[in-house]
Amino acid sequence: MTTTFSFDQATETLSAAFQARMDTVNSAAALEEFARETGRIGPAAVSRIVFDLTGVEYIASGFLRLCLSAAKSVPNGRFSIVNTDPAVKKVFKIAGLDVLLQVS
Amino acid sequence: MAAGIFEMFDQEQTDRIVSRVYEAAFGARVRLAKLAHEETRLGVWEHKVLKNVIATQLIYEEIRGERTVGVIAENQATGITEIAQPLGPILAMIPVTNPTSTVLFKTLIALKTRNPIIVNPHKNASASCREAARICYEAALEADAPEHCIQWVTAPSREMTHALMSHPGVALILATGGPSLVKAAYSSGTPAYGVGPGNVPVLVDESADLPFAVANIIISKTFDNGTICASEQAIVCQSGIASRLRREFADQGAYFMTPEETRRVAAVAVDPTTGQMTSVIIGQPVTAIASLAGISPPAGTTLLMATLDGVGPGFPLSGEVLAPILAFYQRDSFEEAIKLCIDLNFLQGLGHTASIFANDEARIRRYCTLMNAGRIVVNAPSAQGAVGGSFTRLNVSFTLGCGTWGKNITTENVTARHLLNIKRVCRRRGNDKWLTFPKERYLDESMSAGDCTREYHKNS
Repeated sequence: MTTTFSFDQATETLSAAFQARMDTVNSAAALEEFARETGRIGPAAVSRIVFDLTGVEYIASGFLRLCLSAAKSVPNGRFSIVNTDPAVKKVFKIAGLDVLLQVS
Repeated sequence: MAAGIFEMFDQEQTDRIVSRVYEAAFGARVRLAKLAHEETRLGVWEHKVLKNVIATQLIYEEIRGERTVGVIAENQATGITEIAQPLGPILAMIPVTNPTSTVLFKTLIALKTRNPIIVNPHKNASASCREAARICYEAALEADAPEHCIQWVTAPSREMTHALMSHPGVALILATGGPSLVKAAYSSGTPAYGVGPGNVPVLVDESADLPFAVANIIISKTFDNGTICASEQAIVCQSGIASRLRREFADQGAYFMTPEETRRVAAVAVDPTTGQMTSVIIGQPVTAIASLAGISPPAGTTLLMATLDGVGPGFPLSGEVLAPILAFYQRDSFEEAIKLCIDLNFLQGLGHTASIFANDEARIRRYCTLMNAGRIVVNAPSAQGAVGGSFTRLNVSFTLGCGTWGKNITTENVTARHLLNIKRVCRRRGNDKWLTFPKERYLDESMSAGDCTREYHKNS
């Protein structure tokens, strides 16, 4: 498992925490785990997604795909990324995705 | 014509011209500063004198001993000889914020490299720039410089600028000015050194000496009423030191505006349509800004501080404002403070300048690694530090390259060496490994890169 999920039914919020290195292999695994988790909960039950990047030091392009895929699965503005390392935040800025994905 | 004649001058003749022009320009530093101030109504004339000194004395000290004619370097081991040749006529765009100093600076580096220069000033600074160019030209002629080696545009206009930029006789544009001017220069088809807008974030770390940091920031941000694009635009600190830092700013003459006062100042300082600073605010003192905005800071206030919480369109003062107005942010940790500086950096000033006050070397290094800035000024006033020569040993320059982040070709402080075509004469110095390596080995497809490397470097 590369990802730890928690779901808050009251707020319909799915939170995900990740490993330090979200390289291509880990990102692909996380993408599968994410699909399984949302399938288990039921996509309609999730109205907000928060990716907590505490401790994540490296992300590959596969992780950006995972973020975009997750952002598309909820209504506009209901996806966010929190607790980024400055270097990781910069990756989102350079990719021009920091506003869309609400990276902080 | 001047370009061809100038190319025949030797180093001694060239240096004599530069020396004479330096003396004349330095001698006119006060008169030119007053002229620029009277004409533009921007900044502080005494500070413009200092800018003229930086553009003459400090630049002269830096370039006087440089070889810029003929053979400038020779390496017997590599067999490479470097020969410098001039570029040809240089079109010097002059901004309204630093008019006479930029004329003097560009003229000295152009003459040092035997390039004729055409001074094209901002229309609101044309008289003072013409006078600066005329003083330089007369001094150059006294030292037997070629006729027309310094020329100037008497009636600057958009049409004239475009015509000059795309003129086939112009070899290079030194494009110091706003984004539209720089873009026009790059689009003209003529090679250009451009600059980018600044939006300098200053991280004041908890390890910094706060009174020292504040004194340096105020020296810089109030210098010529903030007209240098490398001056500080936003202070970012950790929450743990925020109240002490605010007190220190207040003790040293800064005034923290209320939210309503901040809104009023933002309304006059930033155009809501473009998000860019307004021309009425540039280089104005606090009293004039306060009057425009209808606020009443205490008498003697030197700097207006705007406490902000975010970056971007909802926070007009988070962008570049070339006036004594400074944004102030606090964040919970050093890492959060860095992230805010990255936001400010990406908002407007990519590639230009960033600044940090800290006494923790690891934090300084982390900040410098993460900021996209051509120059990161550490524990020094950012305006003077970035321009070089006084608080830092960067090349003295009024044209600060911003690299590809700012759509420029260099991150360096542009100086004389950028105005040379350098020819490299390469004498035969054989690479024995290559010459003796059996070339048929490359035809053998079973040879991997590793096989080749081992064989190539084998001692035999």
